[in-house]
Amino acid sequence: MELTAARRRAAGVPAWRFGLYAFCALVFLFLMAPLVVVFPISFSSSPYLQFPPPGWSLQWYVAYVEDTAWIDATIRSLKVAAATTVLSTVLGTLLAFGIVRGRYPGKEALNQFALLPLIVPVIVYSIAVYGLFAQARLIGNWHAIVLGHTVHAIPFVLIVVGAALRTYDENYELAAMSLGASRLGAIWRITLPQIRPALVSAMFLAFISSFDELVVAMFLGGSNMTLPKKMFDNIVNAIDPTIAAVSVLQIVLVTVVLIVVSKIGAGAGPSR
Amino acid sequence: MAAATPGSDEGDLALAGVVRRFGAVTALAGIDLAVRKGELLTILGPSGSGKTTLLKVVAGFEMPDEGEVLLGERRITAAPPSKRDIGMVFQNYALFPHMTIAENIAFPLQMRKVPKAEIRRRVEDVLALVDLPGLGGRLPRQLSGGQQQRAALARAIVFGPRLLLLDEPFGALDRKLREQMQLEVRRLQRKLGLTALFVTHDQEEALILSDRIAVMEQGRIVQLGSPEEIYRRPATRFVAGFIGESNLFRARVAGNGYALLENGVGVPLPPGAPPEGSEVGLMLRPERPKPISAGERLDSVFSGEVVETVYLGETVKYRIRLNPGLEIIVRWPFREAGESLRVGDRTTLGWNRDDLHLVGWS
Repeated sequence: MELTAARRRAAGVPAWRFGLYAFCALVFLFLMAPLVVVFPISFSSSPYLQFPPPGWSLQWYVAYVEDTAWIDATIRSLKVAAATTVLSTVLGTLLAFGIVRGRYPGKEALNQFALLPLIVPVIVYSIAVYGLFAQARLIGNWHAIVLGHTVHAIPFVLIVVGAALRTYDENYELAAMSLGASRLGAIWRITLPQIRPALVSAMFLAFISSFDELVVAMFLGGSNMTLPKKMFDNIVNAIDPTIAAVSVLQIVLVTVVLIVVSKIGAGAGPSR
Repeated sequence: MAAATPGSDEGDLALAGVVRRFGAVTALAGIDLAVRKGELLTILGPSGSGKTTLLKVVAGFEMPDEGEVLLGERRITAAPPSKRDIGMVFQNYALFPHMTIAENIAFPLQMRKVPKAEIRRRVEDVLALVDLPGLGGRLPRQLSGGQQQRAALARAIVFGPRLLLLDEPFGALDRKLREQMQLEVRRLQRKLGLTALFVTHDQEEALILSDRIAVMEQGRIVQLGSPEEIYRRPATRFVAGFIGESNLFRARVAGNGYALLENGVGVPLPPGAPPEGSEVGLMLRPERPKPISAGERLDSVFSGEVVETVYLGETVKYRIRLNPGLEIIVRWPFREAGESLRVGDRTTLGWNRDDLHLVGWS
């Protein structure tokens, strides 16, 4: 038994294990290679997207910081993403409670309906929302982008928070109520703290989904450009390594957020 | 704790005609129940009998479709759980995992806006009361099962509730700890004079702990009485089968004080038997039949063959196939079994008519 198993192991490893390793390495390479290229280019002394860079300089970071259009777009994107995060987390969490806890017909249909923004192509959704918002004279307003992004971010919140609520033992909440808390007080003081990791993850996903989003912002933003729209225009019109510098800053920001999230999200968990 | 309410003789907690339906299923089919002040009353029933729904109605987690719930003089039928003044110990304790034990116990006091200094004092007092001194700073998961149980109990009584609800609180403990906790809960409940409603499916637990037991079946209370009454004089066939071990023979009343078993053998009945022709169940507890030595006179005597023996320590349980083709279970003290019977041995046993208890069959 022992021997044959060992022999099988020795014989089997190189064949398919090696293939698997190679495949993973290739996937990893394709995903990471652009980053490897982007970082050096952002510090390039050349005015073209040239790799490897002929020399080193911080000029593209300076260009980014000094250009009010870039800064405006960045601030607007942060504002939109923050508002989207708050709005979609609140609405998505309420929706999750309604769908997980509620006892009414058509619950499953409502669940599917709320997940539709994930399924409908963004371009279709954008055109539809454009038509609607144009009638309401909302185009060009950053609030419009927030609304558009919120609808898009709600499914993420619904999935993550819904999963947490499904595995959550409602008895904690009932116990809090029997001890003198109102339903809302029990949810606020007992339930939400216990599903905090899910809430933090949901907020992160909502933030990223908005901060990265191009198509909806393109249709609804008008002259009020978000960062992805500005980057898009930059690539289309006058391509220079500023785009690389901005990309690096964006990556750094997301990484920082991710680290913060994993710090806050850890620790509080449901009963183990 | 709360002072005795004058005129609360008929019940500290009272349910009147409580009905609760879920779609086509009737979980509670008209419950009338009065729990006396300071009494521990157990709702005993198998799963699906409605006992949990009953508890939820009392706690306020479910609204009854019909009927009223009264706590003392107060009608609480529609009151939210937070306004009922009821302490509850949950099956898995439901201690809040993100709070320390002290914070858990302080929770109901904070909800009642008790001043901070007094909260601290009362938390410490109750921790001493449940024998957990100095553990207030721990998180629930750092405590053992028994300690969590004590903490949950402390949290349920710290605010001096009018009523204590216990929802199968001992299920998660091993046997030895469970027995210890049962006695402890009983001691505390007596000491504090708490009115308590205890829900369980464990008949042994119910017999040990209760002042009175209400046995539930299919949404109804089929019998309410002291543990002894319930054990000795079950009201129905269901209760006889559910509480303790018993032999239950189907029989037809034949007149002149006899009943005929299914196989045609006549058995003398105790006085007060129903009219001739009625179908009855004859309940015989396993400890009632006696082994018979020659010359002894008992009302019913059978001989049979031992088909199974189970040693239970102080007693031995025998399954004996009696001659006229029926089986009986008896439990005898180890010594009285004499040279202790083995499978295949023949023996003679008997009982008096007063050892039998009659229940309706249908």
